[in-house]
Amino acid sequence: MAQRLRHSSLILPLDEGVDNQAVDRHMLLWTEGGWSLQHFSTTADPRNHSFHFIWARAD
Amino acid sequence: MSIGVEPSTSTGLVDSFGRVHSDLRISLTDRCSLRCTYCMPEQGNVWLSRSSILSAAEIAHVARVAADLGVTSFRLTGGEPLLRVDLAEIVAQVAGLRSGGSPVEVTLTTNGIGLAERIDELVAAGLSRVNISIDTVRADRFLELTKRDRLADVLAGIEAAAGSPLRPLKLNAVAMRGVNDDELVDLVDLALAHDAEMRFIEQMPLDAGHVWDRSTMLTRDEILTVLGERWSLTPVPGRGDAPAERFELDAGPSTVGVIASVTAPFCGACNRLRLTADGQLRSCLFATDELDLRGALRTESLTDLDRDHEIADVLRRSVGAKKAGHAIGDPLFLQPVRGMNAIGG
Repeated sequence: MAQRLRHSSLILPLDEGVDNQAVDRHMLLWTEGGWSLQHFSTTADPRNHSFHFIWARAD
Repeated sequence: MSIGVEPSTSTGLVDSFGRVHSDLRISLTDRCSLRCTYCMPEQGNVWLSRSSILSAAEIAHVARVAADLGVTSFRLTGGEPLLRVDLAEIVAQVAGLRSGGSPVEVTLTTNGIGLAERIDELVAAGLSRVNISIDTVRADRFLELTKRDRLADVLAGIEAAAGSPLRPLKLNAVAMRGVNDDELVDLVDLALAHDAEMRFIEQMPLDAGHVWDRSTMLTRDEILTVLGERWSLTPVPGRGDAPAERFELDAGPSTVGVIASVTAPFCGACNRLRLTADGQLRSCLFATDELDLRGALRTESLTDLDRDHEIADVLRRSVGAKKAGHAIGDPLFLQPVRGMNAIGG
């Protein structure tokens, strides 16, 4: 069975903080689509706090 | 730089984002010998009741269950942990634990006051490392900032730590605009003179006066600019889950660290849980909710096995509910009700 990988990101302005409910909604959207989280990471620059996800789904 | 983790197949403390929690920070008391303005008010503190403070045995019990769940590092904090007369006993009990077949690491964050008199017993008890907080090397400024004339005692603590086998030795300073931003180089020089690494921490919204303002705080980039005028700074690779970005000074081997929780958050690699002195578990320094562990520790009707299961369940629930990131800056961000002294840094 083949496995598909996809990447998604949420970019949130640092000076507006992290809307954790938005992150939860993002997670739910993918998991309800049958994707499972393989990797989670964050990056930050002077303006943004970004959340990166790598998803996998068996086809 | 990407901060992240691979989801673990372990049955340990893994949150919904795959972050594996291997670090438990244990606040031993909310009391302190100083009154740093960014942490607690000078007067009017409402202390945790003595009966609510976890005993050495209770702390060791939680640590044992946590170690069974994969926690490998325990940091003892305060308030000021040296105010606990049973500190060496706590260190000894926790240091005797093993996690995954290996000994755990026990470290201490302290203001250094009284450390010189106790460092031998702490080393003998199994302490691995120590971080000492010092925000200024000027006596008048120290008094103004901490409301106590104790700089000489802090320096004596640093001296004692430098003469001990505890390595690496780290000194921590909260970098504050208009307070100590003209001392960054002096603080690094102090650290270098003691074979230590200076680490600057961005001020976070945990101040007792609730006057923190993002627009006026001293940022990571500003700290690095100041240091860069004195030394060439080379990023040290392999940060892993450490909160500090490290930089070699003039190509090393000496280093400096910056902990930029506000302008360069590192939530993606967060592996930390916090236990307050009164037995409440927090999954984030900025969490507004806590889970009670003291009840599990003190419910007499529980068998030893049931008590262990209850503690493990609370640890897992706390990790399971952990948010993706701290929400500093969010218009809905609420500063935790507890002051920094009652959470533990």
